[in-house]
Amino acid sequence: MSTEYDITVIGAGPGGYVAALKAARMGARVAVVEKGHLGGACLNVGCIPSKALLASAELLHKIRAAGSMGVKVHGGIEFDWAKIQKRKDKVIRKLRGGIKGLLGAGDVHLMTGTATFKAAGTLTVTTSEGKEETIHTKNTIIATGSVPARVPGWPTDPQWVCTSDEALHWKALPKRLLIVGGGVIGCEFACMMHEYGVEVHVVEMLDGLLTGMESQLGDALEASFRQRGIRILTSAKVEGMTVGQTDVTVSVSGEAPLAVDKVLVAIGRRPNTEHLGLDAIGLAPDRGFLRVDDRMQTEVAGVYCIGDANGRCLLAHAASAQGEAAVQDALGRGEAFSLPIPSAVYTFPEVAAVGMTTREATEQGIPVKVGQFPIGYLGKAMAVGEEGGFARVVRHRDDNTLLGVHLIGHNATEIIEVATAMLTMKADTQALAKMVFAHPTLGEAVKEAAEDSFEAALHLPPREFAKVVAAVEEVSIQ
Amino acid sequence: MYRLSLGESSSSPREAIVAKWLKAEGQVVTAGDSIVRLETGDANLELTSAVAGTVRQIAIREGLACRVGQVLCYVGDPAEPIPAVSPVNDAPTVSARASAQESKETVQTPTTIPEEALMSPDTPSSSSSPSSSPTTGPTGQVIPILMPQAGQSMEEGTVLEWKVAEGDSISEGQVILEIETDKANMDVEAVDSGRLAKIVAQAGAIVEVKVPIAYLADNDADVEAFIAGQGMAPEAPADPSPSVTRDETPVTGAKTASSVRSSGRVKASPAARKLAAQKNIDLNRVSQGSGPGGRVLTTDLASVEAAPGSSVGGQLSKMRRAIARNLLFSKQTIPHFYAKATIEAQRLYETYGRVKSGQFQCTINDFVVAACARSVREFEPFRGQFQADETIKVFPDCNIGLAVGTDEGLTVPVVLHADRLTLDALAAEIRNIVEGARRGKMANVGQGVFTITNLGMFGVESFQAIINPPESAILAVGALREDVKVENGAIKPTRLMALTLSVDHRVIDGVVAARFLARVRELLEAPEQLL
Ligand SMILES: Cc1cc2nc3c(=O)[nH]c(=O)nc-3n(C[C@H](O)[C@H](O)[C@H](O)COP(=O)(O)OP(=O)(O)OC[C@H]3O[C@@H](n4cnc5c(N)ncnc54)[C@H](O)[C@@H]3O)c2cc1C
Repeated sequence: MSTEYDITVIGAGPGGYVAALKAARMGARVAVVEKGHLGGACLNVGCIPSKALLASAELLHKIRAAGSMGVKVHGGIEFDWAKIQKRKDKVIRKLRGGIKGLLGAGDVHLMTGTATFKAAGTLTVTTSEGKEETIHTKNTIIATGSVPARVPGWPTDPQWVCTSDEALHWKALPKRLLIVGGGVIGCEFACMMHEYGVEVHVVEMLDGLLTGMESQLGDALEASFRQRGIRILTSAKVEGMTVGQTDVTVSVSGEAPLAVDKVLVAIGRRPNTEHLGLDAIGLAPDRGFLRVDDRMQTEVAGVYCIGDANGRCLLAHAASAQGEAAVQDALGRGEAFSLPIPSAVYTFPEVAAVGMTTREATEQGIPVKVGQFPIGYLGKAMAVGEEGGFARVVRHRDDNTLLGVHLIGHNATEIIEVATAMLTMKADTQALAKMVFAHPTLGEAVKEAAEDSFEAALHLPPREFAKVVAAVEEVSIQ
Repeated sequence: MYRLSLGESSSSPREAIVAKWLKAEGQVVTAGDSIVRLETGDANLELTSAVAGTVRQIAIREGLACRVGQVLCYVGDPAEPIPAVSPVNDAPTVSARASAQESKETVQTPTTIPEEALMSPDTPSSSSSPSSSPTTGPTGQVIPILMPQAGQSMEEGTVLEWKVAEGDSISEGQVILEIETDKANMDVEAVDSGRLAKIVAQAGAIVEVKVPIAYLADNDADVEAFIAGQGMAPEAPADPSPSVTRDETPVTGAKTASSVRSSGRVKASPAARKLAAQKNIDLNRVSQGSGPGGRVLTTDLASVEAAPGSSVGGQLSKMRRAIARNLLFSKQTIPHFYAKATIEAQRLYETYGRVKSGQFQCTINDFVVAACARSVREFEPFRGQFQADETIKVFPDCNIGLAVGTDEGLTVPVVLHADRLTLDALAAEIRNIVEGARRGKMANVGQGVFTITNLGMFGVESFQAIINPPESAILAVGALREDVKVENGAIKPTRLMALTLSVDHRVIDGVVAARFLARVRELLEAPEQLL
């Protein structure tokens, strides 16, 4: 028996399962093939487990600061790592069940196994027992996501060197941890592990943390981390490591050899496109990523790629949004996808951003004006004892278009939605400055920052310019 | 030529946005002048220049971001060629870095940050991929030894004989080779000590001045890397014509023994040397150059008198040429409209006398500046400037320029925010900038919206002035003189002063000009309001 599907989705991560639901909702015959657990990296080894572990850490952080809020905690503050892990697992199971329920209710045919291309429109699904099934499909959506990148030549035994995949499920905590990479994942782990009492060292090769984001955010996070006692080595490189009897000795450029119990490699993600049989349909990935157009279609008609696998934006909500766009295009109702995608980092303080950074604007030759407002100036911030961070608004210098909003501070990942809304509506920065925000809220910082970009923030002193002597270098020009 | 950038310090941000250029290309910078404002969101900075010269090129436009160390602008002598950089994305890589103080090149071979092999370029998370580490090549110091320029006319020299061999270590002051020029044979001394790694111009070679003839380095590989790195931009200009382009190489790797004997060793930029020669100025008479390490720049020559018997006649100085161009441009492109008013200045004269003897040092002109500043604030069109695209741009600040005659020509230093200063502060500031201008230090040049020129002290009764572009108005102030006035049919002795306003009629209507002038008169005739 062989049905022909309108759409077959490979992978049931946030990209794939959302695409499947959307396709079903639009009346298509749809199958989704998943070789592992429903929910993909996001639910099983990504967003959700990391947020669950961070939530316990943040609570711990708060309780430790309870004294300053006039709350006494008697008998010492402890945590139960096994229970924290259990809670996280429970959250994962519940959400997996939720996805399964939704797919069933939506009449999506769920197949368990690994999908490979046989020809255009023909896929083979191989189950873990080795059983093969061939399916025919008009359209295929590749939503196979990514896996953590590893460094060739480094030890692979997860007892010593692991990636986020293992670290999220550690049975016991290391005493000393070296994290390679100061990006989002590295920072989230550094933050949580430090709170759980682990001695944390972060090594980042570039000159700051979160380097893809507005540079002030990484700088502020770095300052906060350092102040807490997290060791940050930027512009530094891990040159090698040796596994000993009881620990790993890591050599970092310019540093004395460092002995740690575990190394967490968080240097990026590698797309999961190797074993898909792409040759059969004549698709060649670019460094593993399948490049797509704004409708998420690859060079082969009827074959789409969404989420981490296309490398456009390695975030769960991007995968979902792209999934919907791909389905709409496959079903003949497509349009180019170009909405702003916010990014969120769940450290405490949180970091969030949407739109362009000043650096990106500069690279495109767009003149900007920025406004910035310290969250600590807000009544709400003082009242709730969360005074760190700032909001920063980047607008077009000449026509006032809102270009980007960049936040660091408590609840930044929730507050960013207001900026995303404005950016999605292509609002003028004046609109954001004029918008009425509830008081007292931390979101008011966004309004003030928008006002400050017009040098009109009512709660900021007028701008002053400190005189500094420019660095001089003599050069010869040929 | 100097490149100015945001320096690295613990308190400085890694990145900032160029908010406003306080100097435009072509403007003169004196050490200590503010050149650009940078915004970071919290700490805002105003960068000042430690060197003097002319802003040759602005590398980052207003509104764009710059990183620490990224070149913001080039400052140099007007005769030096403009660097060939793309104005926006001058990458902050180190390729050939010259240490200004020592006037020699310290060269680092370029290092590259590897492309992050595994990450998507779009991802917000950064990665470090230690496997693809930067290729750390040799990074030792390389100091080129250049064919010296012994005398203004020398364009090339012939290497006669090397007194040292590759691999030798040489020390400063040691005679290392003999060269022949069109005039004489001379010994060349080393300016630096070090290991002579490579000789590139063997005996018999004819080499242009300031082109490397050998390199000092501990490591031969460094020299190769250095030479390779220069491949795209050869030391020797492609066009060997004796134009100014060759003169700017500020690196002098060697000096001639003869030049040391004759003149001591005055460090001077080539353009300064040229100008000095034109004006017959002995460089030794410049007590302290304002360039790094005391290097004499053209701006330092302004205050030095030519040696007796010199003829300045022939060629105009840079400054005079600029003035000439500017005036011609103004008269030819701006439709001037003039309005004259004679004001009764008896009270002004008395108030001035009272203030000066009892309160603070001031001049009549200070009162005029104060009255104009206030009027400029009140009359927006006087802050407007006609733009190339036929729009009018209005500036918020009442920055008032003062025409100051110097021996070099006319300059217009500017008092910033003159409307916000009390009269005593304004008087002090005016004293300050006028004196500065006479000494060749130009304050805030180019930032004015309105200029005042006063020839009253020479007894000139009234005159019409040419607008100082891109401004839209200028006030010519005549002498405050004793005269008579007819009042209600009776003749009364009093003091009068003529004010003649020139405006750009495209920006300012006649009626507005008249109202403005009336307002200035009102203020000056009741000068207590200005105190
Ligand atoms: C520690 C960590 C924290 C993160 N936190 C966040 C966060 O807070 N917010 C955020 O937005 N993003 C976060 N991310 C990123 C997010 O997890 C990914 O962007 C997202 O999961 C990508 O979704 P996807 O659908 O493209 O792929 P995935 O979620 O990777 O799903 C791909 C699925 O395809 C399956 N598959 C692969 N090949 C085949 C095949 N041949 N046949 C069948 N099935 C196959 C896989 O088993 C997998 O289930 C985090 C990632 C990590 C590692």
